[in-house]
Parts: sequence; C-alpha cells; structure tokens
Amino acid sequence: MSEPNTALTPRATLAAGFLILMFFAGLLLVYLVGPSTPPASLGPSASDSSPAVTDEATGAVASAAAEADPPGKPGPELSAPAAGHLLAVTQQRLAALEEELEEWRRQQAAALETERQRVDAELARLAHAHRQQLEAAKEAGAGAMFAQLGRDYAALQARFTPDGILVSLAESDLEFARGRDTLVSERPASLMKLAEFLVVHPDLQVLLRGHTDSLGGETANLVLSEQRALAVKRLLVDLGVAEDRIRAEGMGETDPIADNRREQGRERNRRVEIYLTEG
Amino acid sequence: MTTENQDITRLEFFPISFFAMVMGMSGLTIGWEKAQSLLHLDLGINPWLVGATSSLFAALATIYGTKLVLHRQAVLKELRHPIKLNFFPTISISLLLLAIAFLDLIPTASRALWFTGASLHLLFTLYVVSVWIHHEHFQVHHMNPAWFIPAVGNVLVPVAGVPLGYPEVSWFFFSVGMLFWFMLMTIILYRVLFHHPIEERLLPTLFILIAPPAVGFIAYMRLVGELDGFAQLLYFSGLFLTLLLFTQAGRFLRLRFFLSWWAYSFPLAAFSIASMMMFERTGGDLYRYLGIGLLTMLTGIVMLLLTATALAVRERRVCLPNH
Repeated sequence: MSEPNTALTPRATLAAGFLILMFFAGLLLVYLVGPSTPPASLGPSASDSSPAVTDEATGAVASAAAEADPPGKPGPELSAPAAGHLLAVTQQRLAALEEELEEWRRQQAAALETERQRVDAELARLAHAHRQQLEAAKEAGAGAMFAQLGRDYAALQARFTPDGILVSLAESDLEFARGRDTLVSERPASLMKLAEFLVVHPDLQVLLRGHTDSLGGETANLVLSEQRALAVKRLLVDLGVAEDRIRAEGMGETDPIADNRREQGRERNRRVEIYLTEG
Repeated sequence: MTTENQDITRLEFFPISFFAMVMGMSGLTIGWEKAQSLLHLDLGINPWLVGATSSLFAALATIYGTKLVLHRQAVLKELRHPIKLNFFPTISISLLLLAIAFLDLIPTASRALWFTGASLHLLFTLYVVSVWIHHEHFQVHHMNPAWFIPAVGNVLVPVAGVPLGYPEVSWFFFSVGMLFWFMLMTIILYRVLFHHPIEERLLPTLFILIAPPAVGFIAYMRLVGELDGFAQLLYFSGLFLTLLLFTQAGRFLRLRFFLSWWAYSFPLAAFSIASMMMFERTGGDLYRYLGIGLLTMLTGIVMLLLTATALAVRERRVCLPNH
C-alpha cells in the first residue's frame, strides 16, 4: 500500500523485467521446438484440406524430424550437419508425400474412368435391350433418339449405387431459390432430359430424395427437403411421367456428402438425388 | 482465510470482482491447451491447470454463495453499484470459459457448463443493460472499461457453442456482443478524451478493450470457418489495441495492486490464442512467436497476480468496505 505512485518502484521494475524475460522465454520455446509449420506450406488454400489430412502431414513431418535426430544427441539443439540431415530427410519425405498424392490422383482418375466406362456399358446394354423392344415396334427413329438420351444421361453424371442409378442434382442445377421449394425456372434443362429419358423407359421407377445443408432448424430442413423432392416430382409429372412411378421423400440435413462448415460443402449438400430402379 | 470472528464481517465485503481471477486462470489454461497442440508438445499440465481453475471457481462460488445467504443486503448493494454491477457477468463468463477448457476433456460437463453459462449470461446482460437504461445515478465518469465485461461474455458464447452444435444460438450472442462492442468503444473513447481520467484503481480494466476483437476473432472463426475480411479486421484491431496498451506499460506498473489487475490477464490470453489461430490459418511464423511469447508472458503475469492476491488477502487489503 505504501508504494509511491509517481515513480517506478524497484519492485515494479523487477516485475517488468520478469515479464519481458517471460516473453522472450516464449520466443525461445518456439525457436527450440522448431518450424512445425504444415499449414504454412499449404498457404491460404489449406483451408480446403480437411484437418485430419493436415494432422497426418504434421505427424509425418514430426516423425521425420524424430528419425533425423542423431541417436547420440538427445538435446533439442541441432548441429549443422544434423540440421542438414533433417532437411534432407524432410525433403525426401515431402517428395514421397507428393508422389503419393500424385499416385492417389492417378488412381482416382483411373477409378473415375472405369466408373464412366461402366456407366456407358450399362447404358449401352439398356439401349440395346430397348432398341430391340423398339425394333419390335418398328420405331427405329425413337431408337436413335434414345442413343442421344443415353449420352445425355451420362452427361448428368449418373452413378450406380445399391439403391439404383443415382443422379444427384444440386440446388443450382434445379434452380431452387435459396431456402424455398419453388423452382425459378419452369423447365430446368437437367429435368427436361431426365423426363424425356423416363418417358422412353416406362419400366424405370423413380425415387426422389431431397437433402439440405445443416443451416436452419432440423425440422424446417426436413420439411424443406421433402417439399423440394415433391416439387421435382410435380414437374416430372407435368413433363409426362406417370405419377405412380415417382416416390418423393425428404432426408433433411441427415445425410451430408460434404463438409457443412464450408459454403462449397453446404452448396453440395443442398441437392435432390434421383434414384432409378427397374421394376 | 482463518476462522476468526472478523472473517464474518470480511465475508460481507467479499467482492464480486474475485471472479475475474477465474477468467484469468481459464484464459491461461485454454492458451496452454492450444499452445501444446500447436507445438506438438505434451507438457502434462492440462489436468493441473483445468483442476486448479475449476477448484478456484468452486471455492469462490461457495464463498460468494455463503455471502448471498448471510449478507443478502451486501450482495444487493453490489448489484446496484454502478461499477461493481459490471463484474457480475464474470460469473457466467467463468462458466463459459470452463466450458471451453472442458470441451476436449469431458464434453458432457462442457455442455452443462455452456448451457448454464450462456443462459446466466443472457440474464446478466439483460439486467445490466436495463440498469444502464433506467439509471438515475450514472455520471459520465462512471463509464469505465469494466462496462465491456458483459459484452465480452456474449462474444465468448460461440467458442464452445459451435463445436457443441448450436450455431444459431451462437450467432445470437455473437451479434449482441458485437453490437455492444461498437457502442461501448465509442462511449469509452469519448469519456477518456473529454472527461477527467479514469480512477487509478480501474486503469487495468483498459486491457479489456483487447478482449472483444480478440475473442470476437476466435468466435468468428468458429462461426464462419474462413479467414475473410471481417476476421482480419477483428484480429488486427486486437493487435492495435494490444500495442497501444503496451506503450502505456509504464503507467500500469506504477499502480498499487487491486483485484481489478486480474483484468490484465484474460484479454492477453484471448489475444495470444487469436494469434495462434492466425498462425494455423496463414502459417506466418510471426503469429506463432507472438502467440507463444504473449502466453509465456501471461504465465508470468498470472504468477505475479497470484502472489499479489495471496499477499493482499493475508495482509487484509481486500474484502474491505469501499473496495
């Protein structure tokens, strides 16, 4: 209580010195721990990679550092040759990781190609079967049209799933207004193609599944997703598809296919999935 | 505190500002949790820090609870005091901070703490603001940085709220906090510029000016997830205020110890954590050095504050009338 208020007391100076010392102790700590900067090397685009991947990379670098530690020198300080060695090992590891990434990309591309070929083959098979039907009805012209539709179908990026052939249409494809169940366009191009395809294929059943992102209340999202699926159904019916062939349901926000914390992810999650099954 | 007759009267003057200690301690705890994951170190101090902070909160809550039972009038007087009133939300802020500290350790405990803290804080904010509005006794010199405390708590809600899965509630509190930040910043600058200086005892609370942008940055990053323009605006406002206050260090060091000194600790922790988050996002090494340097400095400050508080309690310089 007795300290004067005008000048710095020795105790205050001591405290200030202590605090400055503590600050530099922190800097030293960071310096000794060394550059563990995985997010740095990825730059701002790092925000797109999942945290798990980043952690893994960090772990890899850390283990590289651990390996690089020469066995006889347990201290945190690295001698110049050791640092050089560490750098070399890290670079090697980095190169290996990059190679892995490249390999993974190639595999993905190959898998995608295989998938596409499968879709094409499946479509060709369907086309063939159908053409026979049509030929029986002597409608060669329609067959040519169907081949065109088959290509359009492939253009819709259909995938084969246990639930049937899946065409996923994003909110923007369908031209829904944000948060609404009304379509901006009366005739979205994506649905026109699908409707034509369905008219030619009377044996295919349709399951429409609406999905939303996680913004907004759970119940509201469930209702919205169902309303949107129903809106798509109405449109398909308008376009000439028999009503009893189409089932519409809403999944709400329960089945995201991308990260809801990012705008791109949410955009991918707002979608209507169309499953086509036979019989 | 010993068991003397005197202590019963001391209890009557047990100040609400003691809860600022919990804010400082939890800031330190969360800061070290973050730093260890950033540096890939495990110092094994997390359980100790969390334990110490929780026990401190439990102890203070018990003492203040006893005061509420035995000296209801004294509590009411504090609730009506134009300055002490603002320290009541430190209770709910402590709960919210403990919720953050427990987030990875015991999620269920974290959820309970968050719920209690957030609802209590809403009540305190409403109460404090309604007192502000329906005041009869406020003069412009009553305005002091402690008024920021209710605002800061609101900004703090999303930090645990988003991981716990309540984005909308979090946005609500965040908006309230930001609203009051802009307003109070204007008022406080007006008061500092044009009226007689802030009471010496409350000078350290100027540090709380760092808290809204720094905590706001952390909260905003949780809410939006991207380092956009507004996030950078928040961070760099915090940086400016930190620099500004460090240039005033000489003045602060001349002050006698008051409990309000604890107000130094929490905003520094917030800014240190914000810097570490900046490092995670941009990879700029400067942020990492700044974040950890501030954290170790904060550790020093907390050590000094703990000693000073212990001395003050022993020498009976706190829990007096007029404090």
